[in-house]
Amino acid sequence: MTSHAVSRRAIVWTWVALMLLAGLSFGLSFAHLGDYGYAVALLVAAAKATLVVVFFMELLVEPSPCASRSSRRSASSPC
Amino acid sequence: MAEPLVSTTLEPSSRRAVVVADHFEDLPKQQHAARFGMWIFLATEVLFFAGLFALYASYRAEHPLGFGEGVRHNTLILGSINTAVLLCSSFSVALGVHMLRDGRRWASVGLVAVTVLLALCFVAIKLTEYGIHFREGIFPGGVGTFFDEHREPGIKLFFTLYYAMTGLHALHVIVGGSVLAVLGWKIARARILQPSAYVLEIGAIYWHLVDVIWIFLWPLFYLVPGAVP
Repeated sequence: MTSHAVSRRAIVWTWVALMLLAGLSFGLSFAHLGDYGYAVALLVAAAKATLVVVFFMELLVEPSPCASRSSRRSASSPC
Repeated sequence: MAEPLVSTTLEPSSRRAVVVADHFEDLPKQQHAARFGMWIFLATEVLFFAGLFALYASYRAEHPLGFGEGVRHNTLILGSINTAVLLCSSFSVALGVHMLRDGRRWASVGLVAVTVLLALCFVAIKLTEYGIHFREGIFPGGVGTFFDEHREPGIKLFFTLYYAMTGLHALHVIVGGSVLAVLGWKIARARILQPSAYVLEIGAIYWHLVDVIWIFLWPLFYLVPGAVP
């Protein structure tokens, strides 16, 4: 197996967390939060967006050049 | 000059090798450039939508009651189902990239196919929503019988922005879904294999951005009615 920047387990848990947060947003839309409704809904949305960007788009983890085993092993290669 | 790179990890069925373009020293550098290019493109997409979100914020600040009324009249259930559809599609394509990196080609093809089906699902639900609005007499530009009965200031702006922003987003869903369909086809035909998994990856990154934009559209157009008058 190749080394992965984000593990399969992390991908599954990210999805579970996203669905739970979506459920939370949906539930909160029935609570009478008044003007705080925006702040709460946007905070939850920001949390979801962060999860997608970090774990699905792999923004923080530069996938290792060695993850693809086709990379040539040479003196200049970090692998 | 770098000679064409022939991978040793290709499946025997494939006669196509991964070739590094002349102007790249090696495959990792080519992958990095592709990824970086996609992120720059996504930055322009974010700027594009940011303008529309700013428009929404200023109009909503000006007409809180009309926008609240608009949210209450929107198709909450269908919009929320679409949120779940997009979140699942992001998950399936992320797993698809993961599988391709592991060399599990057909698992990857299956997951990309699921993603494309979910994209179609999203568009179908979106069109159903538009159909419901049209029957209620809500058309873009504040045209329609609905606005004869609902005269709150700003409600026309709400639905015009709704059509503009969700319409543009739906266009992105169609483009992203088409890109993924082509990539899935290429993986199935062994034109994209494990060493080129980054090609699917940058397509998937675009898809995730489409998801992120919807994550913000959903509460603004469906969820938060704001203060009750």
